[in-house]
Amino acid sequence: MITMEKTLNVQKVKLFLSTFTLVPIYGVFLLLLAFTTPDFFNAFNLRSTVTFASILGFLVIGETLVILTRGIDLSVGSIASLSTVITAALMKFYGKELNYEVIFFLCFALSTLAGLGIGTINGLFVSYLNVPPFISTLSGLLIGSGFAYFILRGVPTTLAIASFRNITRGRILFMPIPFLVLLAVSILFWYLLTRTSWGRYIYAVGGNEYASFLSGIDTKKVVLSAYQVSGILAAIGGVMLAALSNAGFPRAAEGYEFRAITAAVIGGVSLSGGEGNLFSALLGIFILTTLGKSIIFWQISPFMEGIFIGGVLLAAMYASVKGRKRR
Amino acid sequence: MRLLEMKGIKKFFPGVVALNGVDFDLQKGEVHCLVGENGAGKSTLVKILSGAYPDYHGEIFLEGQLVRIDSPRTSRNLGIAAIQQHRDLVPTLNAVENMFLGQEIKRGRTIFWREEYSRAREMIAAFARNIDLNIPVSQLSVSDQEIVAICKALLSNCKILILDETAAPLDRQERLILFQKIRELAEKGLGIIYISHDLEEIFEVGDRVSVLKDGQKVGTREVSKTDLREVVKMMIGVEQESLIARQGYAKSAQPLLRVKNLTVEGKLHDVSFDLWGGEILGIYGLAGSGIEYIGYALFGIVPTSRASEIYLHERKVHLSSPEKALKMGIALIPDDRRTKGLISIRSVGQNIILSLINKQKRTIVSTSWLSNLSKEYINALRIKTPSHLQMVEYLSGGNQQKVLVAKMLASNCDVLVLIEPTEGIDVGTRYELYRLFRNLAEDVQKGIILISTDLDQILTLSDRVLIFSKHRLQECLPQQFTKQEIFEIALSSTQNSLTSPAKG
Repeated sequence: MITMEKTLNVQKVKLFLSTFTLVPIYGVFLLLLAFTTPDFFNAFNLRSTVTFASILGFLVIGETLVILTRGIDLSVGSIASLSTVITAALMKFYGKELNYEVIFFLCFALSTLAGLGIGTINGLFVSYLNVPPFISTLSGLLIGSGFAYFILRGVPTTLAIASFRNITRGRILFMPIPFLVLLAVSILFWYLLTRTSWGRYIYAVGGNEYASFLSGIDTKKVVLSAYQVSGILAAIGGVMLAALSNAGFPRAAEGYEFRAITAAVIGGVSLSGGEGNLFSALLGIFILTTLGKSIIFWQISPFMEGIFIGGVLLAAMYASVKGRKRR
Repeated sequence: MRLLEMKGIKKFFPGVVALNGVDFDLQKGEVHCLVGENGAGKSTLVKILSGAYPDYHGEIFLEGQLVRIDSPRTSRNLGIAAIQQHRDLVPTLNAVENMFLGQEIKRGRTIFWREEYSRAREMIAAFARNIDLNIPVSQLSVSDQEIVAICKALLSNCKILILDETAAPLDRQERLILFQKIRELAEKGLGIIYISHDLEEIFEVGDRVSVLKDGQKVGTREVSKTDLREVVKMMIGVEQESLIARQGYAKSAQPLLRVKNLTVEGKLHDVSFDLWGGEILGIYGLAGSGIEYIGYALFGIVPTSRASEIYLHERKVHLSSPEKALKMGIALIPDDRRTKGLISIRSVGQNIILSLINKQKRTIVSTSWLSNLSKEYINALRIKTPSHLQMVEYLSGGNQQKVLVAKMLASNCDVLVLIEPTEGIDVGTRYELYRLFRNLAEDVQKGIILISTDLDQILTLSDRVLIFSKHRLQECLPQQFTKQEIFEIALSSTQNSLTSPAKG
């Protein structure tokens, strides 16, 4: 019995290493940065990297949930953009009439509602009407972006209430608030994914939808919920993005859906569903963001960021395909 | 009172009657076996009970009450648990997560992992197994997966337990444990439906046995009052006179195809045979014996061992891909035409030209050329279609199969390998296809290999019959053998493999 426990522990360690291979990779990358560009590690730069990565992290959590169900969510960037616009618009039109607290609450509430709405449409079409996720969330992207352009007529608008920026500038124990919120939210979703039926169903539906259906699971509802959560989290990320950039505009988070997908894939979340873990995906977005920032310190044109990220994505895909074959 | 009663159950698939008015009943504490050949309707009946086919016709009574099983959820709530033929596990989840899927043990809203693990370990230990609970089940062996599926079903508090080919991947020792579990559950008052290809098992676990054939029930017997011979006879039906097969026929001096020591890791072992032009060679085996791999190997889909030798027209050939096989003149009509054979959303004509090779292949496909070529085959094979532009999806199963044959003939092959060529095709159309295959052999001297688990078909069509079991071709029989004898040879060899020492 003792030997069995022992082998189990060895397996657990192996399992841990295989799911968190990104930790040492990130470590090596940071070391490399430390040697090549020590400038990178100034407090301001670190804070801004962590803050930006944390905001994208909300999109990554939602994206990961959807990919786990064997779907894809292209609308998260557009939902986030829409949230920045809603935030800016609320402050512009009601900033003088209402209390700051009420406005701040409304910014989150209305954005979340919008995210939930688009997520619900995405999910309904995917699960109940059998529209491929790529198409239904592409429509979600267009609809979200359409509203974002319409609300402020396409004009980038500075936030009327400057103190809103404290949401992203504030710190507790040297840690930016967005990072702390992300930490809390990710722990919540880690708990939901690993310790509740709902989480298990998310993985099950992505692994084999028919088998889940035959196990008596309402698979359509589960899929729908993933898109809804993704919409809500993207909206929250969007409000924080507005605070960070002190503005709302329809293209604020354009293309961020691809960053979220890339992070999830780098984090080992399988595009064929059912496999992957949340923290690796989040680590993925920190790696991506660090890479993006470090390019500037290496005195490479920031316009080349995409080339690097594309290369990293290909390498990650290759590694995961190769790893899968070996099993 | 009867636990379960099914009356006049019918189920139709496009172009096929899968069940045609079947009555079935189950008592409390009874193990009721269900047997029949491939496609007899056993799995369909089970799927209706488990809620996978909500659009059945007929009545189902559970403890005297009329019920309508319209979803897997309903089925579960009614207390029916099924272990399906294709193991319905989620490959990415581990054993514990699979066993408790849809029936999690919780404390409040949180899953009680420790309890689930210890319950799972306990249940698996009962099968004298040591299964790694932390890895996805896709990485477990097939028999380990089966044990997980069994435990999953046993966990649900069911009144009716259905086991569909559950014992097949298990070794002798594990089967005995499974049978013992089944008897224990029956004594507790459960009703158990047991489906197996291995007829011997009926006499080990069953109380009653019902035989299905071609979607209808042949009869029900008390196991204690019947024997293997009677069950087999019910299964294969009255001896039909062989419609088309010939008595003697002239063989050319040289075989068209010569296969020597064909070996596919874990599937085929040293399979050797010759095929002459103008004959139909039947290869018969039980379902799950792996006979289809002979076809896959000849078509270059699966890798063969180095010792394998294949000669075409006495020239050694190396078949490493379907493209090469087609160039050499070997064509395959695969099992499951929908996924492996046809592009069902394209037209008849487009499908026919798909496998054209070498000179016939065109870079630019002109419509007149396409239409002439496809019309030629539509007429020759009598494919019932409004035109060559019709989407294959809308043809009946038999005509789809003809399109597939046309596609392979268009490739100008000498050897045609058929795997289960009439799967899901009803009896009438079946004979039309038989005649077609017969003509291809006799009139145009194609060499045809017919790989099938349908004994009727093998005997109707083949000039020679080979029996396959335990990864080998075991006997080479002339046409004179009776159905019963062939069946028993295939069956007896399975039993040999069972009585061989269980793995440690």
